[in-house]
Amino acid sequence: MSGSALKRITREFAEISANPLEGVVIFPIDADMFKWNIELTGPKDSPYEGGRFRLNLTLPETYPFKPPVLSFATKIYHPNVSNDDKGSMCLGILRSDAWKPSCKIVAVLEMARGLLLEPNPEDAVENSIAMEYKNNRANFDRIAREWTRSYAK
Amino acid sequence: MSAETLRASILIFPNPPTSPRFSEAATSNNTFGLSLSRPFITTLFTAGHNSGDSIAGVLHFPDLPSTSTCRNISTLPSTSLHDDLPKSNFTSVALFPVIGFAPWTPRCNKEWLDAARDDRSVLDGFVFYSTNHTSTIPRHDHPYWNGIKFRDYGFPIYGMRGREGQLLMNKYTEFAEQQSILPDINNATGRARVFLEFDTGRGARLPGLWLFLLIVLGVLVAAIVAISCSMHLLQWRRRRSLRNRVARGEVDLEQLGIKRLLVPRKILDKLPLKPYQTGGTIEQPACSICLEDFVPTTTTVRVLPCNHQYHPACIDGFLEQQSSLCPLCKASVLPKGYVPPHLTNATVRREREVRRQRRREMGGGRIHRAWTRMWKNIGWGRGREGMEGTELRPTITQTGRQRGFERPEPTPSEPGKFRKVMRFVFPGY
Repeated sequence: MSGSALKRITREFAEISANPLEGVVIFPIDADMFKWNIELTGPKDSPYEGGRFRLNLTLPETYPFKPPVLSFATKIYHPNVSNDDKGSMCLGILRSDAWKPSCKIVAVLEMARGLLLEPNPEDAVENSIAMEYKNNRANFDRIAREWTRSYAK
Repeated sequence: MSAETLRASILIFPNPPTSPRFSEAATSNNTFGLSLSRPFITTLFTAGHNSGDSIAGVLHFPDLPSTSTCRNISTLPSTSLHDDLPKSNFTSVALFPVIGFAPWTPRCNKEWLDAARDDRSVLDGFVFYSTNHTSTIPRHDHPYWNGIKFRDYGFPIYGMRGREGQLLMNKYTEFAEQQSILPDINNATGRARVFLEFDTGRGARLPGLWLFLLIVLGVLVAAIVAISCSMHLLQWRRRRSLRNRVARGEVDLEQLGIKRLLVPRKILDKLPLKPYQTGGTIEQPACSICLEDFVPTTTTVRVLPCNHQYHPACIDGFLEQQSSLCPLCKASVLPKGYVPPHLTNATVRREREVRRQRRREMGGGRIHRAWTRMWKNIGWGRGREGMEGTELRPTITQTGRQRGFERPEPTPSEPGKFRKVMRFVFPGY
């Protein structure tokens, strides 16, 4: 199983290296194609602008039948990222019931970047942040910017 | 039980009367002891005595009727033929248990026993001794017994070898003749009698408490076995019922999220393998597993019932080892009414729970609701949930297809040894 998984991951890695996504840099961990280090640049016109966020992408052995696991290594003030040392993210195509083998890692990374631009408070892991995002946007933006300045350098 | 050993000693009935005592410790010449074991003693009839019961009493010749011709057997001392029990005013002496004693004479045996029966209130047993020094008493089925029915006498009957029998006989006569008073240990006086005791062996007998515990244990084991058997039967019937319902298409285990099914090779082989053609019902230019493009008319593709196509190398392993659902549309590859080869008790229980929950959500019976509430209050329901570990709790609004399997495959996590045994003995609970 992992042989075909590796084949597919290698293929995807080659594709993504050939056409890099805007604001996304990938550092594979040597020899282990199942773990990727990613750096996301905070998109313009978002409170995360200027920040450099480190993410870990872990691909299951049964990839692409099971979705990859994405987590933020850098602390981030975001309704869809758990505010703990795991920094886990679980929504949309990352959920096993919504995942399809035809989805690609590129799509996952695009979604992650899209969420920085536009958080999804309806499907939040941090409910208090989601509430703040919906009801007190100014305060949310301020804290998110502060966190970006302190952690995402 | 048959007698293992026989012991004879002297018992002194003191005068003035106090409780009788043995003379073993005495220094007087009245000390006497004798012991005899199998095969020199014969058990003719046990009278229902168990191993460990002691049969004991003072020797006593039964009183034959005055008309009996057996009264003048030459080997008997004339003095011994009357009731010689020490009948003092000390009542316990008269009530002291006795062992009937008589020489083995085929002609008179029945008369001895009949006479002994008159002393039944105090008689503990009866022993025949052989008139020949070296011979023992024949077995109960020997023709010499002239068909005496030992069973008709309510007391145990034994036989002993002639030599020891004669010894006892002599002692008996001696004491019977000495109607007089004997000096006792404490210089007190009393009457001496031969005391005889049969040991029926203690080894095989269990003390009462142990026996009780053994019975309790036995009852417990029997109850557990009975419960276990009925539970196995019940589970077997439930499995069969579920199997039938699945086969009839009434239950879709996969869709209800009860059990994740796999596709056996046999069914997989029936799925068509075709050369790839462009412009099918769904446009699929590439295998969505390995992302490689299909080459028209060259690439062989596996076509699932939902019309999704994959490389056989990409999809076959997945269907055989991980899931029976199409990775793209989650439609089942299995034919309708497919019954998985192994339906476990856990699956049966989960299906029952889903059914119960459905009934409840559909309004269910009031009694059923009260029942469930009661279980919940006792805290039993929670415990049972915990046991399964990875349980899926689908609701009516979410079918397995919409929800998928968020939790890992509901195969039970590796249970402990104790739990395994419990599950084997009491399946389904």
